[in-house]
Amino acid sequence: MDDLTMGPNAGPNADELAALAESMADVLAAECDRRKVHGFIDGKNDLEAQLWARAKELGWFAVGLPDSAGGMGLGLRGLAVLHRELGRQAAPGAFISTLSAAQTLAEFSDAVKFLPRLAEGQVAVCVPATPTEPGKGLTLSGGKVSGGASELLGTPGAGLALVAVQDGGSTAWALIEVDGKAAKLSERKLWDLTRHFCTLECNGVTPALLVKGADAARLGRTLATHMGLAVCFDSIGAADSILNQTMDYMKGRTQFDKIIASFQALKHRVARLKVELELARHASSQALQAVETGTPDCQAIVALSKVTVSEAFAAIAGDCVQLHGGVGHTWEFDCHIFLKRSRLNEALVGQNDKELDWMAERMAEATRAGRSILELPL
Amino acid sequence: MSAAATAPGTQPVSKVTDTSILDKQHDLPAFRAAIRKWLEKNCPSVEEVEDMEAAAGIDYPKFEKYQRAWVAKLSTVGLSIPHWPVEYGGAGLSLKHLIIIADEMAKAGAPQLHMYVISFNHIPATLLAWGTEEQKRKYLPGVGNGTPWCQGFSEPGAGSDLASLRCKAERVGNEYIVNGQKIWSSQSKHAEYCILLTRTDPNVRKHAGITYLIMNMKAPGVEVRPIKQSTGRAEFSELFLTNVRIPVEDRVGEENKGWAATLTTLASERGILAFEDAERFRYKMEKFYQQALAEDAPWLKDAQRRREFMRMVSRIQAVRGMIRELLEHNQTNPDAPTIAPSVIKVAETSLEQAFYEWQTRIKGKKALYAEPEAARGEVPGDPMGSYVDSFGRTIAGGTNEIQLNIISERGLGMPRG
Repeated sequence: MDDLTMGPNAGPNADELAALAESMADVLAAECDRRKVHGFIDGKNDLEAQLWARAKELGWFAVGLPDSAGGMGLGLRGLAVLHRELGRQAAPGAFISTLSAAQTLAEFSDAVKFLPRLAEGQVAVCVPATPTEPGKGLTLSGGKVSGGASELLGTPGAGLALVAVQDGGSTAWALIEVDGKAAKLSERKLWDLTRHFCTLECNGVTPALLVKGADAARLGRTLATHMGLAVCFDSIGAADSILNQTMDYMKGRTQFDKIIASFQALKHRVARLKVELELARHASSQALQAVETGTPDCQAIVALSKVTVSEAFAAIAGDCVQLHGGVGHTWEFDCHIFLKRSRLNEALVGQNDKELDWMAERMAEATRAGRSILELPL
Repeated sequence: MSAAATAPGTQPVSKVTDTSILDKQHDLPAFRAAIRKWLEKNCPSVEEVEDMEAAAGIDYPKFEKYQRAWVAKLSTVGLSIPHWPVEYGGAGLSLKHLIIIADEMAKAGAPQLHMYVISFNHIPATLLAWGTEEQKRKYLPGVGNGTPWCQGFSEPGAGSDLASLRCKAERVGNEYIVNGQKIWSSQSKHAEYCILLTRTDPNVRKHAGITYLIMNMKAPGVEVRPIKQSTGRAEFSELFLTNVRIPVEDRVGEENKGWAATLTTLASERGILAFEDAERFRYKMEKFYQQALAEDAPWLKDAQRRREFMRMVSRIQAVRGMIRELLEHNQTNPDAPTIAPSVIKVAETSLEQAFYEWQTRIKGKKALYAEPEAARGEVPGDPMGSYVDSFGRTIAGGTNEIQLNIISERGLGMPRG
């Protein structure tokens, strides 16, 4: 797939990206194969920790960060490749939350001091699963954060949490060092056993960074935008992967003395899934391109793309269960892993209906201002 | 009357009298600006374009007059056949130029050249690849001057399975005698020539016995019977062919080897027509939205309907992205096989259908009025007409089901049943 090599290209060129994708895919295929992922969800190995260590060693946490922040400067395209390849293997780990938090913090000058730790992968970060919703449970009083926030995406082993806190009548954002004492994380298990929700309990913690006022709103949307892109590309890789697996299965399965992949009723369904995947792929690359070129409506375009792409992934993953027949409904096959990943992806960033409403408001605003939200480069 | 006697190809292609656009071809932004400037002065009004569209398949002379007038105007600036080679009267412009032209035409809402789809796209692609030098010289200038052609491919018994066609051509001396029936021949009521597929050998594999001919529509034995579509319009026809004589020199390629040229014809749209369609559809959706916003249409406050619309916005953008990628592919890697045209066809035509279906739901009972009310209101115009007509797009040009076969078999390697 060459979805990341189109258009104006401030960062890496097409060859560099292809080489990056290949090296990531090779590592993940070898070290995060389906046997290992199954072992992990059955509690028989520590793939999540191993993969994190490997990613650290290979510099994957630095891919999207600028050189000045200790990053590799491969830009959003490089990062998109990473998310796509992680999605392809249904890789476990707090990648979406950590990498999106790092990209977000890189856009706030006060926060750059945290970037070297993030670029090296020394620390994982928890973030709200739905940063577009008002933060609940944590309050700021006298410069200290107290209370509890649930539904953070990340890992209970995270060293940092980037969370919304109530500051009087408004929302601020705080970066909290999780010390296991004044700030503690506990896990909420998910159906998707490759990712975690956490609850953060704070008892009078002084935030390492506090962002207030208009900057707080900007931080929330910036985080949502980076998570939106991450979800898009994770979904594209994952959907492509389970669709390919399903086709391979269908090409090997015989019933009524025929390969079931030759049945037109099934073939047409698979072709439709391919059409949905292609639409999603383009929605993702347009979202990326909009953010990269900084078009005024890029955040709304990401929100809309996340809806389209996550829904396509969920539809594909669901039909892949059905196309497998009985084995698709077993623990042993991969279908359920992707199905559960798809439903979590769908729920991340913001509820899809609400994201559509937000996009509708932005589109109305742009239209009233005489701007078209639909311009695409030729 | 033989084909040769009426061939308009003896005339030279009409001259470009205004070079203000072609002069800028080496500077793309200036080229675009020149087209825009020319269109500001010369593009027919919205009312005229609507009047032309309303006449399609209903008032043939009126429709034809509009089409011919627009082609004549375009040819004065070299934009009727901009993609043709210079030696056959074209401007020899690249795909990049064609994209700009299509984009500006779509933006301006210029008339679409429905009557010349075959003439301007399929004929040059086919004749340049397979025609004899004599055929090129005889036919291409006329085509370039705006001679409408049609396609005689499908038959009542050969639709999706085109190669099973049975229209019979028998070689007698220097002529073929053709007997049979063709169907779904778009714009053939206007056509002066027809590219015709015939069966010359019924005793071999079906693809191996097909001969590709050029038929003069005025030849004795050619009868054109328009087919009234579900919209009430008759934009395509059945052709009944009885002892029609076609000279051997009007055969394209060798006898019984017409299938290869057929594939060239079918592949000749190069994505540019899809591009223009999708761009036009984008403007249609956007104008509809702008008007809804200006009038504070109730559907904007109906969460379900508004969300459905936003989902369609996302899809048209993705479709447009697909087409851009295909055009890029056609420029850099034109010979590599791709299933993108099939994916685009399914995605785009399904979206258009869904959009008009959605509009009819919003408009409610008023959508079902046979005489549409004023063009304003929550959903202006006649979405039911567009909805009914949208089935033409999901069926024509290879049904969407055939496209799904192509995607799954050629693209995804699933075996044939």
